[in-house]
Amino acid sequence: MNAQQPPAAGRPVQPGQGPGQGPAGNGEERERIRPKREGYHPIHLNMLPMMALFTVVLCALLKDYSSDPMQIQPSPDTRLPHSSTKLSPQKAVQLIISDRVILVGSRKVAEVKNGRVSAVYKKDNNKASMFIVPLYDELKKVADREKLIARYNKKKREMQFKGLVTIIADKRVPFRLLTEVLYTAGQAEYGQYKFAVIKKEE
Amino acid sequence: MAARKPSERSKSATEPVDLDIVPYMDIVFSLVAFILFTSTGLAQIGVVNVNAPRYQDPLDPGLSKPEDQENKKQLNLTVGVTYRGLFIAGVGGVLGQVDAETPEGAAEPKGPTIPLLTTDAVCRDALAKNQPPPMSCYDTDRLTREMVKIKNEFPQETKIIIYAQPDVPYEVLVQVMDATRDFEGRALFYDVVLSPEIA
Repeated sequence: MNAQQPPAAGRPVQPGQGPGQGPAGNGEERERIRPKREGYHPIHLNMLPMMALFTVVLCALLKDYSSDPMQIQPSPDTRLPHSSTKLSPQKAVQLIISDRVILVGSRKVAEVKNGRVSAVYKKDNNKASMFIVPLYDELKKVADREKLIARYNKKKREMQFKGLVTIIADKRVPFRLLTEVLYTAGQAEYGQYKFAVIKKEE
Repeated sequence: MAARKPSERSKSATEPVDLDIVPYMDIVFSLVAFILFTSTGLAQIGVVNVNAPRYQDPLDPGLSKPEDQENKKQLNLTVGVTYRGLFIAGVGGVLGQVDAETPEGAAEPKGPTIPLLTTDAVCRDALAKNQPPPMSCYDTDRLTREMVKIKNEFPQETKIIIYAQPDVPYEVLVQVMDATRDFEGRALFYDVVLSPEIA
Protein backbone atom coordinates (compact mmCIF):
# COMPACT_ATOMS: atom_id res chain seq x y z
CA MET A 1 0.00 0.00 0.00
CA ASN A 2 1.28 3.46 -0.85
CA ALA A 3 2.09 5.63 2.20
CA GLN A 4 0.91 8.72 0.29
CA GLN A 5 -2.71 7.51 0.15
CA PRO A 6 -5.22 9.59 2.16
CA PRO A 7 -6.06 8.14 5.55
CA ALA A 8 -9.37 6.41 6.11
CA ALA A 9 -12.19 8.66 7.26
CA GLY A 10 -12.44 8.97 11.03
CA ARG A 11 -9.06 7.50 11.63
CA PRO A 12 -6.41 10.25 11.76
CA VAL A 13 -2.92 8.98 11.16
CA GLN A 14 -0.48 9.92 13.87
CA PRO A 15 2.95 11.10 12.89
CA GLY A 16 5.20 8.13 12.37
CA GLN A 17 2.25 5.73 12.15
CA GLY A 18 2.08 4.63 8.60
CA PRO A 19 0.33 1.61 7.26
CA GLY A 20 1.91 -1.52 8.56
CA GLN A 21 3.49 0.26 11.47
CA GLY A 22 2.50 0.06 15.13
CA PRO A 23 1.67 3.12 17.21
CA ALA A 24 5.27 3.44 18.20
CA GLY A 25 6.53 2.38 14.81
CA ASN A 26 8.20 -0.49 16.56
CA GLY A 27 8.64 -3.75 14.66
CA GLU A 28 8.52 -5.88 17.82
CA GLU A 29 5.17 -4.40 18.83
CA ARG A 30 3.78 -5.18 15.39
CA GLU A 31 4.80 -8.79 15.75
CA ARG A 32 3.10 -8.98 19.13
CA ILE A 33 -0.36 -7.87 17.96
CA ARG A 34 -0.40 -9.88 14.74
CA PRO A 35 -2.25 -13.17 15.12
CA LYS A 36 -0.02 -16.13 15.03
CA ARG A 37 -0.75 -17.82 11.72
CA GLU A 38 0.94 -20.98 12.77
CA GLY A 39 -1.52 -21.71 15.56
CA TYR A 40 -4.69 -20.73 13.65
CA HIS A 41 -7.32 -23.42 13.09
CA PRO A 42 -10.60 -22.83 11.21
CA ILE A 43 -13.62 -23.18 13.51
CA HIS A 44 -16.06 -25.83 12.33
CA LEU A 45 -19.65 -25.04 13.25
CA ASN A 46 -21.26 -28.11 14.73
CA MET A 47 -24.42 -28.56 12.71
CA LEU A 48 -25.46 -31.86 14.25
CA PRO A 49 -27.80 -30.44 16.98
CA MET A 50 -29.58 -28.27 14.44
CA MET A 51 -29.86 -31.21 12.08
CA ALA A 52 -31.32 -33.35 14.85
CA LEU A 53 -33.81 -30.60 15.70
CA PHE A 54 -34.90 -30.22 12.09
CA THR A 55 -35.32 -33.97 11.73
CA VAL A 56 -37.58 -34.09 14.80
CA VAL A 57 -39.65 -31.15 13.52
CA LEU A 58 -39.94 -32.81 10.12
CA CYS A 59 -41.07 -36.11 11.64
CA ALA A 60 -43.72 -34.33 13.77
CA LEU A 61 -45.02 -32.40 10.77
CA LEU A 62 -45.10 -35.47 8.55
CA LYS A 63 -47.02 -37.38 11.23
CA ASP A 64 -49.57 -34.57 11.47
CA TYR A 65 -49.79 -34.39 7.71
CA SER A 66 -50.39 -38.09 7.28
CA SER A 67 -52.72 -38.68 10.25
CA ASP A 68 -55.16 -35.99 9.14
CA PRO A 69 -57.83 -37.98 7.27
CA MET A 70 -58.85 -35.04 5.25
CA GLN A 71 -56.91 -31.99 4.29
CA ILE A 72 -59.41 -29.17 4.07
CA GLN A 73 -57.91 -26.46 1.93
CA PRO A 74 -60.24 -23.48 1.79
CA SER A 75 -59.51 -21.29 -1.20
CA PRO A 76 -58.45 -17.68 -0.54
CA ASP A 77 -61.97 -16.42 -1.33
CA THR A 78 -63.59 -18.88 1.11
CA ARG A 79 -63.59 -17.72 4.71
CA LEU A 80 -64.91 -20.36 7.05
CA PRO A 81 -67.10 -19.44 10.04
CA HIS A 82 -65.91 -20.07 13.58
CA SER A 83 -67.61 -22.67 15.76
CA SER A 84 -67.31 -24.25 19.18
CA THR A 85 -67.59 -27.76 17.74
CA LYS A 86 -65.21 -30.44 18.93
CA LEU A 87 -65.72 -32.82 16.01
CA SER A 88 -62.89 -33.40 13.56
CA PRO A 89 -63.22 -33.78 9.80
CA GLN A 90 -63.80 -37.18 8.24
CA LYS A 91 -63.00 -38.52 4.83
CA ALA A 92 -65.81 -37.38 2.57
CA VAL A 93 -66.56 -35.71 -0.72
CA GLN A 94 -65.65 -32.03 -0.52
CA LEU A 95 -68.15 -29.53 -1.77
CA ILE A 96 -66.88 -25.96 -1.79
CA ILE A 97 -69.23 -22.97 -1.95
CA SER A 98 -67.36 -19.71 -2.30
CA ASP A 99 -68.81 -16.34 -3.20
CA ARG A 100 -67.82 -16.97 -6.85
CA VAL A 101 -68.06 -20.70 -7.63
CA ILE A 102 -69.31 -24.10 -6.51
CA LEU A 103 -66.72 -26.85 -6.66
CA VAL A 104 -66.91 -30.61 -6.18
CA GLY A 105 -63.40 -31.50 -5.08
CA SER A 106 -61.38 -29.31 -7.39
CA ARG A 107 -63.85 -29.40 -10.27
CA LYS A 108 -65.89 -26.28 -10.93
CA VAL A 109 -69.57 -27.01 -11.50
CA ALA A 110 -71.37 -23.67 -11.29
CA GLU A 111 -70.75 -19.99 -10.94
CA VAL A 112 -72.14 -17.89 -8.12
CA LYS A 113 -72.99 -14.24 -8.47
CA ASN A 114 -74.30 -12.10 -5.62
CA GLY A 115 -74.98 -15.21 -3.56
CA ARG A 116 -77.16 -16.79 -6.25
CA VAL A 117 -76.65 -19.48 -8.87
CA SER A 118 -77.66 -18.37 -12.34
CA ALA A 119 -80.85 -19.80 -13.83
CA VAL A 120 -78.86 -21.48 -16.63
CA TYR A 121 -77.52 -23.98 -14.09
CA LYS A 122 -80.97 -24.71 -12.67
CA LYS A 123 -83.44 -27.36 -13.74
CA ASP A 124 -85.56 -26.18 -16.71
CA ASN A 125 -83.66 -22.86 -16.51
CA ASN A 126 -86.05 -21.99 -13.72
CA LYS A 127 -84.60 -19.42 -11.33
CA ALA A 128 -86.84 -20.58 -8.48
CA SER A 129 -85.74 -24.21 -8.79
CA MET A 130 -83.69 -25.73 -5.97
CA PHE A 131 -82.01 -28.21 -8.32
CA ILE A 132 -78.55 -27.31 -9.68
CA VAL A 133 -78.08 -29.63 -12.67
CA PRO A 134 -74.25 -29.64 -13.13
CA LEU A 135 -73.78 -30.12 -9.40
CA TYR A 136 -76.12 -33.10 -9.43
CA ASP A 137 -74.34 -34.61 -12.46
CA GLU A 138 -70.94 -34.31 -10.84
CA LEU A 139 -72.09 -35.63 -7.45
CA LYS A 140 -73.90 -38.51 -9.12
CA LYS A 141 -70.68 -39.39 -10.96
CA VAL A 142 -68.72 -39.33 -7.71
CA ALA A 143 -71.40 -41.37 -5.93
CA ASP A 144 -71.39 -44.02 -8.67
CA ARG A 145 -67.61 -44.26 -8.44
CA GLU A 146 -67.75 -44.58 -4.63
CA LYS A 147 -70.40 -47.29 -4.91
CA LEU A 148 -68.31 -49.20 -7.42
CA ILE A 149 -65.34 -49.09 -5.06
CA ALA A 150 -67.59 -50.19 -2.19
CA ARG A 151 -68.91 -53.13 -4.22
CA TYR A 152 -65.40 -54.54 -4.60
CA ASN A 153 -64.54 -53.87 -0.95
CA LYS A 154 -67.55 -55.25 0.84
CA LYS A 155 -65.57 -56.35 3.88
CA LYS A 156 -64.01 -52.94 4.49
CA ARG A 157 -66.43 -50.80 6.42
CA GLU A 158 -64.57 -47.57 5.85
CA MET A 159 -64.88 -47.98 2.09
CA GLN A 160 -68.64 -48.34 2.03
CA PHE A 161 -70.77 -45.61 0.55
CA LYS A 162 -72.26 -43.52 3.34
CA GLY A 163 -73.52 -40.50 1.44
CA LEU A 164 -71.26 -38.20 3.41
CA VAL A 165 -70.34 -34.79 2.08
CA THR A 166 -68.25 -32.03 3.65
CA ILE A 167 -69.54 -28.55 2.90
CA ILE A 168 -66.75 -25.98 2.85
CA ALA A 169 -68.75 -22.79 2.54
CA ASP A 170 -67.86 -19.15 2.85
CA LYS A 171 -69.41 -17.58 5.92
CA ARG A 172 -71.28 -15.01 3.83
CA VAL A 173 -73.09 -17.61 1.72
CA PRO A 174 -76.84 -17.01 2.02
CA PHE A 175 -79.14 -19.69 3.40
CA ARG A 176 -80.98 -20.00 0.08
CA LEU A 177 -77.82 -21.03 -1.80
CA LEU A 178 -76.88 -23.42 0.97
CA THR A 179 -80.26 -25.15 0.86
CA GLU A 180 -80.10 -25.40 -2.94
CA VAL A 181 -76.74 -27.14 -2.70
CA LEU A 182 -77.94 -29.44 0.10
CA TYR A 183 -81.13 -30.27 -1.76
CA THR A 184 -79.19 -31.16 -4.92
CA ALA A 185 -76.70 -33.23 -2.91
CA GLY A 186 -79.65 -35.03 -1.33
CA GLN A 187 -80.97 -35.90 -4.78
CA ALA A 188 -77.56 -37.41 -5.60
CA GLU A 189 -77.88 -39.68 -2.52
CA TYR A 190 -75.70 -37.56 -0.26
CA GLY A 191 -77.81 -37.12 2.87
CA GLN A 192 -75.26 -36.53 5.61
CA TYR A 193 -73.58 -33.16 5.69
CA LYS A 194 -70.60 -31.96 7.63
CA PHE A 195 -70.08 -28.22 7.67
CA ALA A 196 -66.39 -27.34 7.80
CA VAL A 197 -65.66 -24.63 10.35
CA ILE A 198 -62.70 -23.19 12.18
CA LYS A 199 -62.62 -24.42 15.73
CA LYS A 200 -62.74 -21.67 18.33
CA GLU A 201 -59.95 -21.65 20.88
CA GLU A 202 -61.02 -23.04 24.24
CA MET B 1 2.31 -46.38 -4.95
CA ALA B 2 4.35 -47.78 -2.12
CA ALA B 3 2.60 -50.00 0.35
CA ARG B 4 2.23 -48.52 3.84
CA LYS B 5 3.55 -50.17 6.89
CA PRO B 6 0.89 -51.70 9.15
CA SER B 7 1.68 -49.08 11.81
CA GLU B 8 1.02 -46.25 9.36
CA ARG B 9 -2.17 -47.86 8.13
CA SER B 10 -3.65 -47.86 11.60
CA LYS B 11 -2.84 -44.14 11.97
CA SER B 12 -4.42 -43.23 8.66
CA ALA B 13 -7.62 -45.12 9.58
CA THR B 14 -8.17 -42.93 12.64
CA GLU B 15 -8.24 -39.69 10.66
CA PRO B 16 -11.62 -37.97 11.19
CA VAL B 17 -13.90 -37.87 8.15
CA ASP B 18 -16.10 -34.82 7.81
CA LEU B 19 -19.57 -35.80 6.62
CA ASP B 20 -21.04 -33.20 4.30
CA ILE B 21 -24.49 -32.66 5.75
CA VAL B 22 -25.33 -29.52 3.81
CA PRO B 23 -27.40 -31.33 1.09
CA TYR B 24 -29.31 -33.17 3.80
CA MET B 25 -29.94 -29.88 5.59
CA ASP B 26 -31.21 -28.39 2.34
CA ILE B 27 -33.72 -31.21 1.84
CA VAL B 28 -34.95 -31.14 5.43
CA PHE B 29 -35.29 -27.38 5.44
CA SER B 30 -37.20 -27.42 2.13
CA LEU B 31 -39.55 -30.13 3.39
CA VAL B 32 -40.26 -28.31 6.65
CA ALA B 33 -40.97 -25.09 4.76
CA PHE B 34 -43.20 -26.90 2.26
CA ILE B 35 -45.28 -28.65 4.93
CA LEU B 36 -45.64 -25.48 6.98
CA PHE B 37 -46.85 -23.49 4.00
CA THR B 38 -49.18 -26.10 2.56
CA SER B 39 -50.81 -27.08 5.83
CA THR B 40 -53.82 -25.06 6.93
CA GLY B 41 -51.70 -23.25 9.45
CA LEU B 42 -52.56 -22.93 13.08
CA ALA B 43 -56.30 -22.83 12.43
CA GLN B 44 -57.90 -26.07 13.56
CA ILE B 45 -60.59 -27.24 11.20
CA GLY B 46 -63.66 -28.89 12.70
CA VAL B 47 -67.05 -29.99 11.42
CA VAL B 48 -70.68 -29.52 12.41
CA ASN B 49 -72.99 -32.44 11.67
CA VAL B 50 -76.22 -31.69 9.86
CA ASN B 51 -78.85 -34.02 8.48
CA ALA B 52 -81.11 -33.62 5.53
CA PRO B 53 -84.85 -33.59 6.25
CA ARG B 54 -86.28 -37.10 6.22
CA TYR B 55 -89.38 -37.60 4.21
CA GLN B 56 -91.75 -40.39 4.93
CA ASP B 57 -92.68 -42.48 1.94
CA PRO B 58 -96.50 -42.71 1.87
CA LEU B 59 -96.28 -45.92 -0.20
CA ASP B 60 -94.21 -47.68 2.45
CA PRO B 61 -96.17 -47.63 5.69
CA GLY B 62 -93.96 -50.39 7.11
CA LEU B 63 -91.29 -47.87 8.01
CA SER B 64 -93.56 -45.78 10.16
CA LYS B 65 -95.10 -47.08 13.31
CA PRO B 66 -97.91 -44.77 14.40
CA GLU B 67 -98.26 -46.48 17.75
CA ASP B 68 -94.60 -45.80 18.50
CA GLN B 69 -95.03 -42.17 17.60
CA GLU B 70 -98.00 -41.93 19.91
CA ASN B 71 -96.04 -43.47 22.78
CA LYS B 72 -93.10 -41.18 22.24
CA LYS B 73 -93.97 -37.54 22.54
CA GLN B 74 -92.43 -35.61 19.71
CA LEU B 75 -91.25 -32.12 20.57
CA ASN B 76 -90.33 -31.04 17.02
CA LEU B 77 -88.27 -28.20 18.39
CA THR B 78 -87.78 -25.62 15.66
CA VAL B 79 -85.63 -22.51 15.61
CA GLY B 80 -86.26 -19.98 12.89
CA VAL B 81 -83.64 -17.39 12.01
CA THR B 82 -85.27 -14.33 10.54
CA TYR B 83 -84.33 -10.72 9.86
CA ARG B 84 -86.33 -9.73 12.95
CA GLY B 85 -84.86 -12.23 15.38
CA LEU B 86 -85.13 -15.84 16.44
CA PHE B 87 -88.34 -17.86 16.63
CA ILE B 88 -88.52 -20.91 18.88
CA ALA B 89 -91.38 -23.30 18.24
CA GLY B 90 -92.51 -26.77 19.19
CA VAL B 91 -95.60 -28.90 18.81
CA GLY B 92 -97.57 -26.58 21.06
CA GLY B 93 -96.81 -23.40 19.12
CA VAL B 94 -94.28 -20.61 19.08
CA LEU B 95 -92.60 -19.80 22.37
CA GLY B 96 -93.27 -16.38 23.88
CA GLN B 97 -96.21 -15.50 21.68
CA VAL B 98 -99.62 -14.65 23.00
CA ASP B 99 -102.56 -14.44 20.68
CA ALA B 100 -103.11 -10.80 21.33
CA GLU B 101 -105.79 -9.17 19.28
CA THR B 102 -106.33 -5.55 18.53
CA PRO B 103 -109.58 -3.92 19.63
CA GLU B 104 -110.74 -4.13 16.04
CA GLY B 105 -110.43 -7.89 16.16
CA ALA B 106 -107.52 -8.29 13.71
CA ALA B 107 -104.56 -10.29 15.00
CA GLU B 108 -101.36 -8.31 15.49
CA PRO B 109 -98.26 -9.49 13.63
CA LYS B 110 -96.50 -11.80 16.02
CA GLY B 111 -92.94 -10.92 16.96
CA PRO B 112 -90.00 -13.26 17.32
CA THR B 113 -89.31 -15.15 20.56
CA ILE B 114 -85.90 -13.50 20.80
CA PRO B 115 -85.87 -10.13 19.02
CA LEU B 116 -82.71 -8.63 17.58
CA LEU B 117 -80.40 -6.71 19.87
CA THR B 118 -81.05 -3.09 19.02
CA THR B 119 -78.22 -1.56 21.01
CA ASP B 120 -76.18 -1.20 17.84
CA ALA B 121 -77.15 1.27 15.12
CA VAL B 122 -76.36 -1.32 12.43
CA CYS B 123 -78.90 -3.71 13.94
CA ARG B 124 -81.56 -1.00 14.19
CA ASP B 125 -80.89 -0.04 10.58
CA ALA B 126 -81.16 -3.66 9.37
CA LEU B 127 -84.38 -4.11 11.32
CA ALA B 128 -85.89 -0.96 9.85
CA LYS B 129 -84.97 -1.97 6.30
CA ASN B 130 -85.91 -5.65 6.80
CA GLN B 131 -82.44 -6.74 5.68
CA PRO B 132 -80.28 -9.59 7.03
CA PRO B 133 -78.56 -8.21 10.12
CA PRO B 134 -74.95 -9.03 11.04
CA MET B 135 -74.17 -11.92 13.35
CA SER B 136 -73.67 -9.73 16.41
CA CYS B 137 -77.32 -8.63 16.32
CA TYR B 138 -78.63 -12.06 17.35
CA ASP B 139 -78.96 -12.70 21.09
CA THR B 140 -77.51 -16.22 21.10
CA ASP B 141 -76.89 -16.18 24.87
CA ARG B 142 -80.61 -15.88 25.45
CA LEU B 143 -81.21 -18.59 22.86
CA THR B 144 -78.95 -20.92 24.84
CA ARG B 145 -80.83 -20.11 28.07
CA GLU B 146 -84.12 -20.93 26.36
CA MET B 147 -82.65 -24.19 25.05
CA VAL B 148 -81.55 -25.15 28.57
CA LYS B 149 -85.10 -24.54 29.85
CA ILE B 150 -86.57 -26.71 27.09
CA LYS B 151 -83.97 -29.40 27.67
CA ASN B 152 -84.96 -29.52 31.33
CA GLU B 153 -88.54 -30.23 30.24
CA PHE B 154 -87.58 -32.73 27.52
CA PRO B 155 -84.32 -34.36 28.63
CA GLN B 156 -84.53 -37.17 26.04
CA GLU B 157 -84.97 -34.86 23.08
CA THR B 158 -81.88 -34.17 20.94
CA LYS B 159 -83.38 -33.20 17.62
CA ILE B 160 -83.70 -29.63 16.42
CA ILE B 161 -85.00 -28.25 13.13
CA ILE B 162 -83.44 -25.01 11.95
CA TYR B 163 -84.78 -22.85 9.17
CA ALA B 164 -83.94 -19.36 8.02
CA GLN B 165 -84.88 -16.59 5.66
CA PRO B 166 -83.18 -16.66 2.23
CA ASP B 167 -80.42 -14.11 2.81
CA VAL B 168 -79.42 -15.06 6.33
CA PRO B 169 -75.65 -15.64 6.18
CA TYR B 170 -74.23 -19.10 6.78
CA GLU B 171 -72.16 -17.89 9.75
CA VAL B 172 -75.35 -16.91 11.61
CA LEU B 173 -76.65 -20.42 11.04
CA VAL B 174 -73.45 -21.91 12.49
CA GLN B 175 -73.70 -19.57 15.46
CA VAL B 176 -77.28 -20.66 16.11
CA MET B 177 -76.21 -24.31 15.91
CA ASP B 178 -73.43 -23.57 18.42
CA ALA B 179 -75.91 -21.92 20.78
CA THR B 180 -78.29 -24.87 20.67
CA ARG B 181 -75.72 -27.71 20.70
CA ASP B 182 -74.38 -27.60 24.25
CA PHE B 183 -74.03 -25.44 27.32
CA GLU B 184 -71.16 -25.75 29.80
CA GLY B 185 -70.47 -29.34 28.78
CA ARG B 186 -74.12 -30.40 28.86
CA ALA B 187 -75.44 -31.65 25.53
CA LEU B 188 -78.59 -29.87 24.42
CA PHE B 189 -79.98 -30.30 20.90
CA TYR B 190 -77.19 -31.56 18.65
CA ASP B 191 -79.14 -33.57 16.08
CA VAL B 192 -79.63 -30.76 13.57
CA VAL B 193 -81.97 -30.97 10.63
CA LEU B 194 -81.98 -28.10 8.17
CA SER B 195 -85.37 -27.19 6.84
CA PRO B 196 -86.02 -25.32 3.62
CA GLU B 197 -86.23 -21.58 3.89
CA ILE B 198 -89.19 -19.47 4.76
CA ALA B 199 -90.22 -16.53 2.64
